[in-house]
Amino acid sequence: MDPLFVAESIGVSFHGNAVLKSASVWASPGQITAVMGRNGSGKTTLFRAALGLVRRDFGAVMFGSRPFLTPHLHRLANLGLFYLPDLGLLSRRQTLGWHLSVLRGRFPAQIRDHVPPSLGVEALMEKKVWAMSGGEERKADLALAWTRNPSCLLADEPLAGLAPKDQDLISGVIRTMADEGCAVVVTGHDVRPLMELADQIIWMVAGTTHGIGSPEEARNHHQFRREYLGPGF
Amino acid sequence: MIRLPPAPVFWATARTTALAWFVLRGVVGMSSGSPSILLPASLFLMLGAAATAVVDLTVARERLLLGNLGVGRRVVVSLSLLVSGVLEITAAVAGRFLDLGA
Repeated sequence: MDPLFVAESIGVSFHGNAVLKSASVWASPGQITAVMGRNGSGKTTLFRAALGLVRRDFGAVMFGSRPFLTPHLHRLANLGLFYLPDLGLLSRRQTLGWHLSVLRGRFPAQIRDHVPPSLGVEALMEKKVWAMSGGEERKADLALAWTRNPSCLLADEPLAGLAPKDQDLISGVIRTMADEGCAVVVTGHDVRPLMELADQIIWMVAGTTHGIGSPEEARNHHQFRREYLGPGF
Repeated sequence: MIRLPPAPVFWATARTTALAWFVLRGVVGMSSGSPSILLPASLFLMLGAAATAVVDLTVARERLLLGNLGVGRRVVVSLSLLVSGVLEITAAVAGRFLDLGA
């Protein structure tokens, strides 16, 4: 299936140091793509550059058949993209219920009318975000993404710092979104749950990316095993 | 038709305007000794730059939230400029009115 979202050959440098030399990421409807790489390899920067949140030196972004020479998150969001950043999304002074009502007011025709009970966020509806634990905040972020019913979800480290049970829960919700047609890209270091969740793996190393296929192909990729997974995997 | 999410935009605009205006007004007030004057165009541009910086510095998390809601930084900065202009004109008119009444 053709990708819905493509960020192609993105280059980013900070103070003359090239962080991304030529990195690409793509998301196809119904599929989950996992971008994996060591700390500092540029996964978050790739997302942020593709969304216009940091300046690109070069590279192109496509959403659907539409090219964006200067991508902006709000323009892509209006087309159906949702971005879950790694450090939380919700306004800390507000409740999840407030965020959901704002979202419903903004996109009345394009949202889901319920949050999956399995996510267990009913108790968080009236709780201020600053009072939530890290796990609760991650679930609340995902509840907002779910309700938005996006055609493309970019989730930066959605499983980071969570208990295995919560990782399973969040993975399940992301899988359901993909099964319903959403094009999903996730990043992270939680290798085992990510390998179980993903349909394809992109390996990010030395400022560039390599599409190394399915999780099974990734497990058998000699260089990926040696340089990223390690001998114990 | 553009549908703005009123509450987040309102708060982001209020914060941006208050902070940027407070800083700029402090500088102008100290240099001119006047607590409120109608901002000349160059200062208005400075306010725009200050508001942009404030959006980045103080509403980074909200900026992503607003982005996901389809609202760009320019909307918040433009509204900040509009509100600042209205505040300045109101202050100038009120000052003149008070002077005339004295």
